[in-house]
Amino acid sequence: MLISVLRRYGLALGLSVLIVFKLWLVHTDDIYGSATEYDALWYLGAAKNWYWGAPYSWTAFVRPPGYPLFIALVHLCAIPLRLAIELFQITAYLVLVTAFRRAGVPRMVCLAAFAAMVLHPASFLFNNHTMSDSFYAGVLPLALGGLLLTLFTRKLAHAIWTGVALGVLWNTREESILIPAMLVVFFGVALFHHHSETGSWKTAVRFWLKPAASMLVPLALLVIAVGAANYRTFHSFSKSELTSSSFQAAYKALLRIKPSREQRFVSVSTEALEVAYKVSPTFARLKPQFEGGLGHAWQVPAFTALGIHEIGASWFHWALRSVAANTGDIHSSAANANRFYRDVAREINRACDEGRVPHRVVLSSFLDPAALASIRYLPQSFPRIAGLFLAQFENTPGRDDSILTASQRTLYDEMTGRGAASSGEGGLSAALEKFIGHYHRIFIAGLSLIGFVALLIIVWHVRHLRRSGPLNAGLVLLAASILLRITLFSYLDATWWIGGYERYLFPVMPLYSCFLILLIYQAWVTWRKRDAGPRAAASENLSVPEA
Amino acid sequence: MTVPSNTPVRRDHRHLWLPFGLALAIIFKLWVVHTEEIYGSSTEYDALWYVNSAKQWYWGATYNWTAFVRPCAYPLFIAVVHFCGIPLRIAIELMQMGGYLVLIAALRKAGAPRALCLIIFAAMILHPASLTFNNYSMSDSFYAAILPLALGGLLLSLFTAKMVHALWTGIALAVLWNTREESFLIPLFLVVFFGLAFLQRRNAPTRKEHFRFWLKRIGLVTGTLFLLVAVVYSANYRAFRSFAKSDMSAPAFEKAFKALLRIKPTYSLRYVAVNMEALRMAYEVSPAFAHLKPQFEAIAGRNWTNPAFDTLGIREYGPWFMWALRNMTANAGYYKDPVSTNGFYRKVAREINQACDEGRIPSRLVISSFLDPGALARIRYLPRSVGRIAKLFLFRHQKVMVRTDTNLVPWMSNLYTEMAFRGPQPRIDDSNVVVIPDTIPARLAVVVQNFIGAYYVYLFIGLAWAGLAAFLFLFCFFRRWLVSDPLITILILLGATIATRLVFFSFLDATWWMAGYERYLFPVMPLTTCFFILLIYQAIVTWRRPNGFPSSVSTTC
Repeated sequence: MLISVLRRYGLALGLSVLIVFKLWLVHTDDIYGSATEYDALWYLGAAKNWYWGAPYSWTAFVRPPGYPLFIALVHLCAIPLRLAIELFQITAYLVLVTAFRRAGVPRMVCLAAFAAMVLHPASFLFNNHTMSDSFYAGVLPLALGGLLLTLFTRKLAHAIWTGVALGVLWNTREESILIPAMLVVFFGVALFHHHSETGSWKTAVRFWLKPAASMLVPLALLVIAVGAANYRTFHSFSKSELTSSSFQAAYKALLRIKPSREQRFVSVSTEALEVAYKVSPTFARLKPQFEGGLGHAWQVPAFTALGIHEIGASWFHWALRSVAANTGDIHSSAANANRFYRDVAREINRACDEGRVPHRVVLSSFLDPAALASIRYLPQSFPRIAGLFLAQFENTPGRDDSILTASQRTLYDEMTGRGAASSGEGGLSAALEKFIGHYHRIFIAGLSLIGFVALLIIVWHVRHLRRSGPLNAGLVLLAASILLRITLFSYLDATWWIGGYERYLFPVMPLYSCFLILLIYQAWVTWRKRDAGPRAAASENLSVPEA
Repeated sequence: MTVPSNTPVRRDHRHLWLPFGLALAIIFKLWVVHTEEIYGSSTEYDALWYVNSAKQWYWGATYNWTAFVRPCAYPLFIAVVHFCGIPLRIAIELMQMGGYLVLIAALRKAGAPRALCLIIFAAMILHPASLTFNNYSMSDSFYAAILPLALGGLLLSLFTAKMVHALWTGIALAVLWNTREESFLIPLFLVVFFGLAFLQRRNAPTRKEHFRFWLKRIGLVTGTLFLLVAVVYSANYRAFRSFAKSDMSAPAFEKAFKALLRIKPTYSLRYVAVNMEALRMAYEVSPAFAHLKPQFEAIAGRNWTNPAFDTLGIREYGPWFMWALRNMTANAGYYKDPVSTNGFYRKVAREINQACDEGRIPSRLVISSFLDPGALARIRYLPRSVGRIAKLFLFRHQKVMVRTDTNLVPWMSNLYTEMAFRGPQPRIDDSNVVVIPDTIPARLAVVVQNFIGAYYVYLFIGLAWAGLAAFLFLFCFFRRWLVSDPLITILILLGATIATRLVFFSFLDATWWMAGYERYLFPVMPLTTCFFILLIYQAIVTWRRPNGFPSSVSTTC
């Protein structure tokens, strides 16, 4: 009897052991004191002011509110941030594992998938930094788990909280564009499954209307609420100032100016800026700053990497705002800043429309028209980005950046509860972390290889695969989430800027390990069923636990 | 898919608000205590002992007279949360909330409405006693978490009849057993649980099968409990050569103490189990015990008489005798290793018992080392003590604005910082005063804390009166409810747990020592609030149900 109980509840026991092990593994880790004032340090400053309480400046709401509000909340509850982010990610992976169990995945496979996710070495490194990627890495599996639970249980409750999770995800980082794509895949899978069982698309659409509404309404409400709060405080109905309509209009207008020569990784060249000064008296106010020390400072990354005196595409947004902030009273208030950017957009657009400057078609401010020419580099960028999954991860030595000032250190100590939950010395746990960080890539390489073979087996025996099998849906959704992210950052790597995308891929790295394990399991199941044929396919439902 | 396509969409979104409300309550409680941290207490046999023992993972401690003077569960809990890098102040809060959530899950299984569950949860987590006692690294706060967890487990075992609930409840009970010394309360409420199990609605066709069905589950609860207790005792035996929960209940020490209790003095004093006269007789008849005479008569020995002297004006050891005896034995050089220490206690017991048996000294009947024979004469004080102990439930809290004991030395402070992850205090001066950050949330949290601390008592009084009325109503209309009714089952189990603890500490108040029992009652204080709310609710339900039993309840055993 005890054995049967253990067999049944071994998963819970195994998960608990893994959680304790992970917490022990990172118990000497602490939040790293980074002096990056527009990144790690910014999040803390925003959290201290509960995002909307910050006095207006050019960086007041330069990033979305999801992560600063998370920091503020855990600070309010006096939970050390390093511990909170770890627990949050663990919880999200548990939700995903719950969804897999609903799909009838065996306990051992679930345990292996959870271990692979929770012990991913990227978490050792990135969870030590107050960057939104670690929070995104928690919310993404939570949302995916919610989507899968909605798919498998058809409970409206799951659809509602998944909508909330997606709303949080939307407001965590700028690449929200991936969420609608993920949702399209989800509803596609849901409709396909329903259709394959009922044979009617109409019934399928009618059936999924309510869950879809239950999911999309909270998502929309949350997005609108954040937009409204931002409008009330910063006069911009947007997720962050980088996506505010006035700033985007100005940026889009600058993109419209066609330079005589297009350069990779440069969206707005110095030549385009010169043209803009001439046609826009408002924009010309920025000339002294762009041509002064500040403007040159923003050219340093591009000069260092490419040897050109230009502002790199990925820095131009920041450069424009920082230059504007240092010019007169442009950023003295949100209304002033909005007016400035709108005026710039109007003047440049009018010049373009009147043919006073050479111009080009700009579909979206996100899509640099010249970037399309660089799309040929995508095949090179894709493997480079995929190669990041095999990267080695080692913790940053030391506790703080050497240039961290006393007040910045105090901010870290105050907002993250640093020092409270760290015993300081590494010992065995640090050695193990290092070991995992070093050799994890061998595990991933092996797993990828087996996963590839598994994929071939599945393709070969596709006849034996039940199209509406729950695990297939899970695999499709996971694969779509991973692929979408890899494709986006490969595109950015090809057109926007080269390198430095490890942390952006961190949210899908543990999911990739999980995906491979599930893929191998599915191939194994398909392989075993190859001779049994329809009988086995029909009995597949029997192995699925009761809903 | 797990759900067939023809299954309609399940409209259960109304269920979402309970978890949402619970989550909000948890965040609110964490915010209320976010300015709190573990108090730097220098009590080396209490708060400091637990932290120190945790550092050694209990069994790794160097042998001495305090090495395993207390049970192992709480030090191991501190060690585990330290191992995981979780600050103790947060861990204990989360643990308690986890315990209450399990109890709420059991209430939901019993059909309690969601709103009621939310109110009960809020009332339990916001009990002012938790604001005071969770700041101390004492086992009571851990006991306050494990007790509702174990009760919730017992109730879930009753309502779901699932083996897994029986299994983990057995584990929770074993942890409870090894948390504090008053383990004998556990069998008492287990007896109530067994009774309730057999009185549950019968699903089996015969009484015999029904009995067998519950016997299996009860067997799993008690089996797990016994197994884990045996494991802990064995570990203690391996490390300290005593097959016991702690050194206080080690057979050799208990024998020596029981032998000393056998000596009948010419006079008997309340709160004094072994008086000076008994000690003098013991020195005479036991050469081994006589070795301790110089120690008892030295300053260290006299220091143990100070509490009784300060309170009663007599130079006696009072309830601190057990500690004094061990301390004096250690000072006499006997605590070098467990074998020789046990040998010494056994020798003392043998010599005194032999003298008693041979009639060389007057002796009396001692049933248990726990029961001072003289205590039975003081049972007349029990009614007064029950009243006094019951009054402790009217607990008030005021935020302590002092960080540490004034005599806390640096190594102690470092130990707290290391093991409890006590946060660094923002220093504005060298004073010992708690610095509240100059922010609205921090200052407001202190105000809310003090408000709860001051006014919760009125809520409790109101609930107590309404609960009494509800009890009388239920008592008068006993025909309208059944013992197998899930809410009545909960009320009986909760009531039994609270009553046994109340009576036990009233007995100690009457016979062992007066005052200082607040922290021992803390584990049942939030449960009492829960009990009163449920009692009132049950009375309302019964009152609204004039025709007797609910339709679903058709058969009883």
